[in-house]
Amino acid sequence: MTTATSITARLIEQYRRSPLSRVQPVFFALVGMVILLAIVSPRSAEPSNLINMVRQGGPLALVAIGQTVVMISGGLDLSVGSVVILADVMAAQMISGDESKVIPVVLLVLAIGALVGLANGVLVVLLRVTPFIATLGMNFIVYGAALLYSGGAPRGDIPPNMRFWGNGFIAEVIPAAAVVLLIVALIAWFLISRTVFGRRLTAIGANRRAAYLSGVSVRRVTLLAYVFSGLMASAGGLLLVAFVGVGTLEVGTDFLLGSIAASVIGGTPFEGGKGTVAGTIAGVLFLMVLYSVLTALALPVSGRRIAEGVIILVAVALYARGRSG
Amino acid sequence: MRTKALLVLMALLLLVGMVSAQDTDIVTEHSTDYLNDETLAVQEGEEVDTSAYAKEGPYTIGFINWSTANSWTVQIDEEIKHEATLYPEIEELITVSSDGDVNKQITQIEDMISLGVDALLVIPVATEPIIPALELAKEQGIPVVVFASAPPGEDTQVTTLWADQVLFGRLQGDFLMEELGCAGNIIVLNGLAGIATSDLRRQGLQEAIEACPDGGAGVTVLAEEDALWAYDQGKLAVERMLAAFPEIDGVWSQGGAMTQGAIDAFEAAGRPLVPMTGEDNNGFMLAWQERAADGFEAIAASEPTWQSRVALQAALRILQGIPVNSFYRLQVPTITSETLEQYVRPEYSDAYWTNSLLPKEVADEIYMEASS
Repeated sequence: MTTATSITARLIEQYRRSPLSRVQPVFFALVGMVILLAIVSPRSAEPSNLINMVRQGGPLALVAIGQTVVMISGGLDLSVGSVVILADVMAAQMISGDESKVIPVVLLVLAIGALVGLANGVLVVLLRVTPFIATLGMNFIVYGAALLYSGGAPRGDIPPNMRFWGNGFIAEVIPAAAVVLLIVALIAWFLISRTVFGRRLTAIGANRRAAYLSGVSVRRVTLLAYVFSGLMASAGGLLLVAFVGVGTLEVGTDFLLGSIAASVIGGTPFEGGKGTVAGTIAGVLFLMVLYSVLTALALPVSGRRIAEGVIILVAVALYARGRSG
Repeated sequence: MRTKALLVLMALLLLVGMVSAQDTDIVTEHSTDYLNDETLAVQEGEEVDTSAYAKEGPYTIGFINWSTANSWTVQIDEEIKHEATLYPEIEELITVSSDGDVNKQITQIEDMISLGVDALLVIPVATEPIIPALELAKEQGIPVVVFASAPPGEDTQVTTLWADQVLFGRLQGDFLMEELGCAGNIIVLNGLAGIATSDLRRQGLQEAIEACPDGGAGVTVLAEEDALWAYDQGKLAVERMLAAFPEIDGVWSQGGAMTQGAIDAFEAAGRPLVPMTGEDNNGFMLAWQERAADGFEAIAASEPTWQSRVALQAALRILQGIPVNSFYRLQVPTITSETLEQYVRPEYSDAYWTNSLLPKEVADEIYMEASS
């Protein structure tokens, strides 16, 4: 008994000292889930299919990166789902199959996303509305705008040069969407980990008052976090419409809950103060692999739901444990 | 002589009265009678005496749509708006959307009552919770027509119009069983478990499988997912299924844009297309048409968007005191490769539902793609 405990204690001590302990728990969870997938469906775990999951998770990953930045600052962005839909219908309708319009429309849609983020930021920072309420209200407004813009019947389609980024493969193996994700992730990583903005963002989330007292412009940094989230949500919408090919109000993916779940699984706590881009992307991939496992198991829908909920809860709980331990 | 003339006159008057009474049916006067067309709506239930609701026009009619967040409900709105313009007797058609929120819908029913609408049409978000609000309408003498749903209560509404969702799934399923000769592996795309439409259509598939000569022993459902009738979820689900299962012989999809997602997923994976089922949305129909020449086999079942017109006609009949039936079972038309050409509209967007009674100029306005 005593020996068993001391062996465990020694193992934990060894783990703590090893470089492994610096690896975030989400990566272990991801590897574990891939191994599980390989067991239940070897075909699904083939490298080509695993790479494909990066593409499947691409739009959600972009949105989740934005969500992570806001969550690090201690906030929350509930408007992301509507921004995705607005970006989707606007891009399809304005481009309408014309290849030459892709670049200007993409830039415009990104700007609109950033503008929505700015409005969120203004509400939170200047008008002191709590993030939950501010972004919830914005969610309704933006969705209404998408309905108004499309008249409820979205038109237009995406030309091949843009669809390639949602659907295509570079050299027939690397999904173009994965390249988009990689580039955005690098930029976001640089922003969070290598800039003054990133350090201040973390400082605000960890202790707002201390950050303020040490001269951090809390307002400006918070505002920028929401702008970034709006920008990322519209980028996610653009990648989604490139995947779908036509404008649609009927988006089945739950970008709001998905982005929060991925962030939390990836190690960004609700109370803010920390979080990484790599962790969030691993969180998205974890969800994608999980869905494949559930599909391969061919569980009935009820069982699927329960399994999905339990596994996400366990993943988050494990993370919390790892953090306190 | 005089009495005779008087009698003849009276008889004539009676005749004229009868004829004019029939003529005053504003539905046949201004539009086509869909309600009594057996090819569209089958009369079931009992005949209801509506004389208590009879009143003179002009009428204000309220319509509560369960949502306008998807193209089908949007078209439901457009169809009823157009139908309402046909009748000079309708002064106003007030349409609102409950955004899938049953509490909101209850409030809206109460609002419609206080607005004093002459008749109320509802697509329920959920049936049970709105019963008290509908009873309130009944107390106020406002006739209620429910459609695209099961009847909420026993007599909370004057009549209900509903397409047979089990039949919907059954017709799709029968097609698939015939294509596969009742043998093979299929995958299933549902809407959302717990929603009646989704569950009943799925039940229809089960009946089709069990109707096979061997009781369905030769058919395996490999995997089943809720994809919310949406393209993105349909495609992602089928991609996962294709990765996990090397042999898939057929796709039973409840419809919406999911089938379109399934087609694209098969092609992206480099797998030959298998027979698939879908709905009459233009996006899927166009994808089907493009591949029909290469031997792609599919069927589309339709839950018609024109049912809002039929519901409005029922309300107008009730307001004139003309009897209606307590239930109308709407037919579920199917579109096959033979009839595909009649329905598909290459010049319209994917959001159009092809089994529509919208006149061309109205549909052009809403759905015409910019020529590129």
